[in-house]
Amino acid sequence: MNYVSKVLAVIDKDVRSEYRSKYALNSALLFCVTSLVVVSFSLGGSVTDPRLQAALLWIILFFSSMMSLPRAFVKEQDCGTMNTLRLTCEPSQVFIGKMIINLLLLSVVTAIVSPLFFILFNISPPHPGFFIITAASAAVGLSAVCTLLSAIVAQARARGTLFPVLAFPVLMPVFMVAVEATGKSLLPQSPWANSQLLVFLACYAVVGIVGGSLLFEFVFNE
Amino acid sequence: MASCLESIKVESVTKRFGPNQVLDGITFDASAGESYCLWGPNGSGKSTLLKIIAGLLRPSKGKISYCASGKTGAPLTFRNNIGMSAPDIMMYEDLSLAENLDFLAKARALPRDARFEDELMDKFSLSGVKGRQLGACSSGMKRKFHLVCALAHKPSALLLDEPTSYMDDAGRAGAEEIVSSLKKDVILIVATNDHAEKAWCEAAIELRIKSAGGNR
Repeated sequence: MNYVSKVLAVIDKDVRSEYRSKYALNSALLFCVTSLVVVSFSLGGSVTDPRLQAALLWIILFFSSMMSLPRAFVKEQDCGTMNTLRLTCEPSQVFIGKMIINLLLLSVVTAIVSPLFFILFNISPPHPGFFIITAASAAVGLSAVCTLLSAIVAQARARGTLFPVLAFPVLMPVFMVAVEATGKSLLPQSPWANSQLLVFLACYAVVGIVGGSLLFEFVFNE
Repeated sequence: MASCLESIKVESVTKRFGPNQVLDGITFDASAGESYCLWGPNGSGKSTLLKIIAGLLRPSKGKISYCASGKTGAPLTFRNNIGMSAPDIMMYEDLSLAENLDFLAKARALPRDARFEDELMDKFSLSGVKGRQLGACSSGMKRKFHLVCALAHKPSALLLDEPTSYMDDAGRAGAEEIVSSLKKDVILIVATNDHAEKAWCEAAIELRIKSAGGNR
């Protein structure tokens, strides 16, 4: 109970801070909506292949997470509060708290962008349940890995370029599988025969959380 | 308060930043009730040593160990015992003063003494601005609040880096009064250039500017 309330303290602090500044949410949403509109105007109804549609959606979500998720620790570093966190919180408490904040952020962005994408591309997803599970499990994996990477890059000078460079190879598997699974969910035939894709995304999320928790202490205390 | 800290051992601490040697074999042992001043000119490594003692920087050589209830460990394993105030350790400017104190208390999950917090806020004349966002406060108010945050959880090691800089006379007097009343129970280490702050401490550790080739 004690541990949960400590994690909640980190979440509460970040939610209040984000509610007042709205920096991460606004920048992610603006990026997503702008790129979505540009893509839909330039391609129009010419993209009919579900796999291509899925790839477009995930490219937008992937780059928006590249923009907004590193904020978790970059803001702490820029505002001089990283040492306050070090002196106040245990590493795992910070990791879980920040990961949940990133997950909330990504969920809000996905929940707004996906319906907008389906409307602009005139898609009526035949298997919304499969799509929601895909998006949710990919979001957990992305959040866990991005939280760890954001703590690593926060102390670097060239953090803007370093984050995508570090994230690209680590996030590639989840990105490719999420595209594949989303593509299956947009086909008329049942996607549940491909549930191994969901198992992969769930395993990636678990490895991301466990590996992130174990490695985070070394990054945070340095 | 977390379990009381008995001593802090600083053993042969050396710190280099690239070719620049900042600290060279600093050794001392501070026990509860003792107070030390890290004294020296700008660039002599006072703040660096204080951060190493707090566990925020890793020494190039040597080690810091904290001892409490027979257990010995690295500084950050005793983070709930440490109260630190330094010019580059900030609080959250998007949050109000009350929200900052709430966060610290909840994140530490230690028993909270609201009366003591109120006393500290009163002493620094901050009670009236509790609901104000920290970012909207003056530099002096921020420094006072940082000191309140360092003291609010009743730490048994108080690490203060130029604690009264930017403060007005009333703030300085309040800080001196509070620190004097607490220092018999805590390990107090103050890094400063200010003679008034130096007078808070019983002993001084003098640091000198080093260069790559040795003492300048």
